[in-house]
Amino acid sequence: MLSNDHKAAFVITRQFELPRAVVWKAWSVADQLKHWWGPQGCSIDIYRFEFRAGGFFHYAMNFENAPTMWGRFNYRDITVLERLVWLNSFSNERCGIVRAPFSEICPLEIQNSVTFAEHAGQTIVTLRAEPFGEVEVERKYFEDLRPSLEQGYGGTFDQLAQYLHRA
Amino acid sequence: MGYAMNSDELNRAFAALADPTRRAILSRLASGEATVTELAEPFEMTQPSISKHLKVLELAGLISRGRAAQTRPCRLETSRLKDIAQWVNAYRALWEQSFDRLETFLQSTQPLPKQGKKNALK
Repeated sequence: MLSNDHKAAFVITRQFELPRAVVWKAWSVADQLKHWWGPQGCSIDIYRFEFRAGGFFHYAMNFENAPTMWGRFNYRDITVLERLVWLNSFSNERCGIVRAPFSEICPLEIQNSVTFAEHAGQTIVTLRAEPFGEVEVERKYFEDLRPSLEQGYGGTFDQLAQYLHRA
Repeated sequence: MGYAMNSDELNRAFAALADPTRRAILSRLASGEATVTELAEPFEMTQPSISKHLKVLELAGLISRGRAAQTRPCRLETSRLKDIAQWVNAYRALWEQSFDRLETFLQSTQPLPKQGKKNALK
């Protein structure tokens, strides 16, 4: 089990009315992943797809009315049908890591952990995201701020709390 | 998003937030302005050491201080915290969208009766 809930910037859970093997395939096969990963309206070109720990998924995100951006997954842990952990970041055309083109405040790398659980033919997918910066303080900021938000200081922290607290 | 900040300012803000006393000060200020004396009390710290923390927070743009006489009350500047929170919101939205698309994609690959005759991709 993952025990990183307290660190996660957010957690998303989705239930799919399909067996786990079908859902897993959409994450582990390049030709499927490219059809759904990314923001609405983008089309993905795959440059590299190495589905193993240490491997890269390197891709271009093409938009109709905006310049192309590149991104990469660096897989860290793959347990077939059960669990997937990778670092997600923006990149250049050569798979080199870069800061978010639109924001310097975005962590350089975000660690995503996804678990897949099957119940009665349905699959529950849970995704946790947390900053994985080179800068230790980026990480510390999220770890330490959460408990104080949870105690409810209210007022001006409310908006921040909404973002960080929803799970 | 975050366009107002450069990397130096970002690092300064994160460094300022890395200290528990400074985060506690920010939390206190979230419920309203306070003077150095008022801030020093609950933390059982001397005023000079509180003042040092306040200086760091002020340089990081996380608080501002009034000009009113000697008390110079401290106020929380929320815009910087909001900048930091924005990526969380953006990244979360990206995943919500991707999950929507995943749902649509998976349905299109399944030969469900109500879905018509689309064959599974292979």
